Amino acid sequence: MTAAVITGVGVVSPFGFDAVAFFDALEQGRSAVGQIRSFDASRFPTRVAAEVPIQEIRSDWLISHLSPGSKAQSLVEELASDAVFRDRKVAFGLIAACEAWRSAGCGGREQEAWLSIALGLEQAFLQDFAPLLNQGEIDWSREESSDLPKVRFRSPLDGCSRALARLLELKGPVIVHASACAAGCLAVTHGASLIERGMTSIVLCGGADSMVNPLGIGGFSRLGAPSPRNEPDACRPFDRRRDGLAIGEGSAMFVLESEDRARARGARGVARVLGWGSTQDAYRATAPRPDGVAAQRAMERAIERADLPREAIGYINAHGTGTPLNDPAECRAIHGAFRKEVDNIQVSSIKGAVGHLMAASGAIELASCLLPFQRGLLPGTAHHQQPDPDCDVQVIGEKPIRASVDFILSNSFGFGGQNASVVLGRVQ
Amino acid sequence: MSYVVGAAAVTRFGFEWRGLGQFALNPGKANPRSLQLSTPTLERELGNTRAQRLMSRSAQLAAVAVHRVLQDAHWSERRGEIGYFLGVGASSGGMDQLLPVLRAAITEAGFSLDRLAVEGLSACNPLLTFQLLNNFTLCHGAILEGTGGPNGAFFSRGSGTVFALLEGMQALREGTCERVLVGGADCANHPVTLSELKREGFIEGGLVATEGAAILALTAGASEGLARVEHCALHSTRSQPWIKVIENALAALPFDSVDFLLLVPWGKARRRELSLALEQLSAQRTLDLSEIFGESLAAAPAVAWAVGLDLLLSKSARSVLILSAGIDGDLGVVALTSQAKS
Repeated sequence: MTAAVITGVGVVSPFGFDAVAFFDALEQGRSAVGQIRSFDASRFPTRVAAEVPIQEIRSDWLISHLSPGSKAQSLVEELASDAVFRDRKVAFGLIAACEAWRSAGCGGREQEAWLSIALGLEQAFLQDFAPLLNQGEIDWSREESSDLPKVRFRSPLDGCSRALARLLELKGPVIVHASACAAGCLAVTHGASLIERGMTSIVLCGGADSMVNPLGIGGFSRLGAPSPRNEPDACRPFDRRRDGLAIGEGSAMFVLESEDRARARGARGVARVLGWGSTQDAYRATAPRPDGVAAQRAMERAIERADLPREAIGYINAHGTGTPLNDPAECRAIHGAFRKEVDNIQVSSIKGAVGHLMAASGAIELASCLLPFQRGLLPGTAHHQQPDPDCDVQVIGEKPIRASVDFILSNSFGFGGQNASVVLGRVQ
Repeated sequence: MSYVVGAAAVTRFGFEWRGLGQFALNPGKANPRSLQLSTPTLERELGNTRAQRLMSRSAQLAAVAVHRVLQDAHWSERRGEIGYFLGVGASSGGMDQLLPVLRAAITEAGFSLDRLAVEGLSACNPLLTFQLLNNFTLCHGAILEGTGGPNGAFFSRGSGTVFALLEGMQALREGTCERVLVGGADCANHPVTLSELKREGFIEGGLVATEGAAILALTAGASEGLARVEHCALHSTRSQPWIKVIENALAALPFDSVDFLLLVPWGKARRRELSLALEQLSAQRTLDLSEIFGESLAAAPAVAWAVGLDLLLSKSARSVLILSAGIDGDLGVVALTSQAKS
């Protein structure tokens, strides 16, 4: 068995279009939640989100953010003419993947890579139903005669993975993880597992998502998940005043390789993926299991698989949604997993800063776990000001803290009760 | 090694997996173009009406399959340890749920974002999101039945369902769990999915859209199991021509001939490609299950596994090879062999 090592990272976040912009913002303790600009949300119950700073995805703009070359240009133009970029996450995934690919120094020899990617729910385009609506019913016979774009009614869930495999000319199988908010973590750990069991020596993995669209924002508002305050501090993880999440968007992608392969081609590893675990709450569709027992088991499995004592973990990047129910349940899970060591472990959530990236949340949060290894900083918890006795763990405040840790645990818990945890280790 | 100790299949023919193999051998006059399960039949089988309101059609199909496979495998104890990996399809929330939103947001003048924001959302079922999220095809069944082990939902345009089987087998191999459910569930006849299949040329190319769910119960050791999963692999077709991919896939098998070759292609093009295997493998009989059962997308490979299992149990075969290929360009290869003593 061979361990998997991260050799390339790419990030599209509400802070900008590369990993450096993301790391700089985390280092500065900034938050990106603000008024929604990509569509007119002024009458929606939820009017704030952590948006990637681009209003409309245009071909020329996207091409300028991808690797230069006629391949990118012709593909982007083709996808644009099919209206593929109506779904913002496609562009985010392409940009992040290209950055990861470049930063790992990948080329033709790496095109044998497998792709393991987490992608969120299809984006709905309700306006496309307008020409089909006939006396309050959908008349599908009108579809052919209607002037609609090729991508219509909803985006294909795997639009991003299909485009990505073509853009980078990847030869390996494509795996699309659809486990909601746990998917980003599962996509990366699946990549590590494929490498560990020798099925491949290189995987491009991560996640891309955007729910910042009318039905995405509206649907979650209806559910009561976002903070009702519509303020820049909408998401206040582990804070006693927390009242909901902030929706975010973006992508984080990684090149994951066997240590042997990375060494042989002189690629520099930035972290090792050491252990992982997943469980199901099997509790309720509408709420996490309050005792956190299933989430605890996911963490324990990840640590056990990493073959580490629990006290080796120096930092936990929490799922930390800032919702009334999630945060205390996660803290109970952390207590259960770490017992008396819990007071020695720093915990933070970056969701106050970048919002909840849904299917991509586990991936971008893993990217934030590289900050301790690369800059010696543990990310802060934006807008965490008033500790909650129900969230009795060592929560890092709004600004990052300087610390040296060798092993990190990251949690991702999905709507529907899917829990995933992963342990990263420093490359010595 | 993984052993099958139970199965469930929900197809347009009902809720029984036993008999599917025999049906495939003698499909008679069944017309795959018009059949799907009737909604009252499905809802009656599902029982829990409160939970039904949260579920998409795919989730309902999967929930019935999970319930039945757990019964079939007699797994009533320690369900919190059971793993569950599922190939899932596109979002299949009911159009009846979306219609009130559309009626409120679309006027004579066309679509209005303002109206969506106020009147549309007021008309929206607050729980619609639980119907829309793709992973809930897996989660509703897990919640109802209490399966709490390792899990994952793979979007499947052919290969995701085979990944579900691969990951289930891996979980057993690693000892992450001792029992695991693997399969797929999907509705190709959801109106929006159907529209997509038409635009991509699949319907014109002969794809018959249907729905289904099928799940196998696997363990790592079972001397009395129903069958053995002899081989499971996924082969990318992006780097080599299909003929070469098939050749390599068959070369990796632990045998040179099989009793039955079951093909699960999405439409004509994939049918042509999978048929290349006929020239390279000695099989007593070949069945094209997409022609017989229709195409249930993420569910189709798993339904084929259930058909293969029935052929083994009815002693029609001692070995079955199932080749599946969707539009994502990957070839799924699954071999099942009989556990019966000769």
